[in-house]
Amino acid sequence: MAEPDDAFLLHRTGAGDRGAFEEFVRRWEGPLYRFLRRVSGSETLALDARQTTLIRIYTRAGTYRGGSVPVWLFRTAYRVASNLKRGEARASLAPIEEDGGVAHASPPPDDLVAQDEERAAVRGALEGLSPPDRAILWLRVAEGLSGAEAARVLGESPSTLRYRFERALRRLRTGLSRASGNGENHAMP
Amino acid sequence: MRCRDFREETSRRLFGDLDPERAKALEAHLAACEACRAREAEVSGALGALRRLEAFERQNPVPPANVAAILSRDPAPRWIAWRRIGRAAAAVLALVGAASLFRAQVEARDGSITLALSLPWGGTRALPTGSATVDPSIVPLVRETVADVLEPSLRGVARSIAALEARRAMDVETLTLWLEGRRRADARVLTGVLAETRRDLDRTQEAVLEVAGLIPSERPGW
Repeated sequence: MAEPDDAFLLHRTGAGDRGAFEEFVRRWEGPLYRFLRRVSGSETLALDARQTTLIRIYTRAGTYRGGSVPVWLFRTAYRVASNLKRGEARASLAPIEEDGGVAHASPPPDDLVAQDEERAAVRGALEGLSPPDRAILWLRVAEGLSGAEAARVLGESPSTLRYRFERALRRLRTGLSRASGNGENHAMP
Repeated sequence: MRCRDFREETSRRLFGDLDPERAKALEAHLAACEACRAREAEVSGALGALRRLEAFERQNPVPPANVAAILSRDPAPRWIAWRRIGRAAAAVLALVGAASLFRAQVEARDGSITLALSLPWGGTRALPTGSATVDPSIVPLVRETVADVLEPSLRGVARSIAALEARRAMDVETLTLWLEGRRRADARVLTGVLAETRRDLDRTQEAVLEVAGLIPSERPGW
């Protein structure tokens, strides 16, 4: 049997079906968390923002009448996060959290070290981008949103977003080559 | 074609927004041009690294959301739906109300006809008709003409004012959510609506100026 789709779950939630919402949360808590973590750069903020986002979705599910669920979800999340971030900045409580990755209990094999290094480099390069740029990259690459959908999430025109997307990729690339030391990259011919 | 002509194509393809025909042309160019291939490889290298990070992070456990706390909230769908209906009702009331605010009055006395507008802030004001002594038998004709010509334009003003108020009340976020709620509403629709709003605003302004021109004084709030 096919799984009920997200739109169906939202409709059921709007009709008062709590089980449907629990299923909806189970599906989206991961993607939402990863998106918010990436955009905000803070684990605490990501958790707060996710909770607020899900509350908004829950209380407004009754107004859902169709349309792209990921767009609605990520747009809500993006706004919540930027509001929280603004509040946090106002309170001068913006701690920069180190993204430590995963600690290894035993010395890992060489190729794992290389992979760890690449990930650390990508994370570092991402930190150097603006939150909207991180959001664009993540929505396109991790969530597979189309350019037009990503544009709706961020409230920008598709052509602006296309430009920003390419620029963000180039910056990421520059950051990566800087992180790899002398700028060489074995992926290049 | 030169390399720079393909910049747009390259960026469109990255963005997932390139039509197949142009994609073919781009492929052909990339096959022939080493410089462009290198440019593209740079960017797709970054994309690949990002994808690998994403795939890795997907395996990390995510702290679960506190569903119980969410479910303890009062879902507000009814309220929001009512708020929306309330807005629509307010818009209709405003329309009806505004229409009744400006009522054209035709007075025929002693064979002389005067046109007047009843004003929103009370009282009436004569419209510049010039004064003419006319045969009382044409009064019905004048009434009809007024009904045909003046009333619709007043209704137009009223409608524009109502639209202006309704749109102002509906902030862009709500409007976007509302549009999304509709089947197949997309960015184009939104752009269309915003353009319409802008047109409404322009028309309202024109209409208001026109009416204001008819009523030279007593314009509180405008």
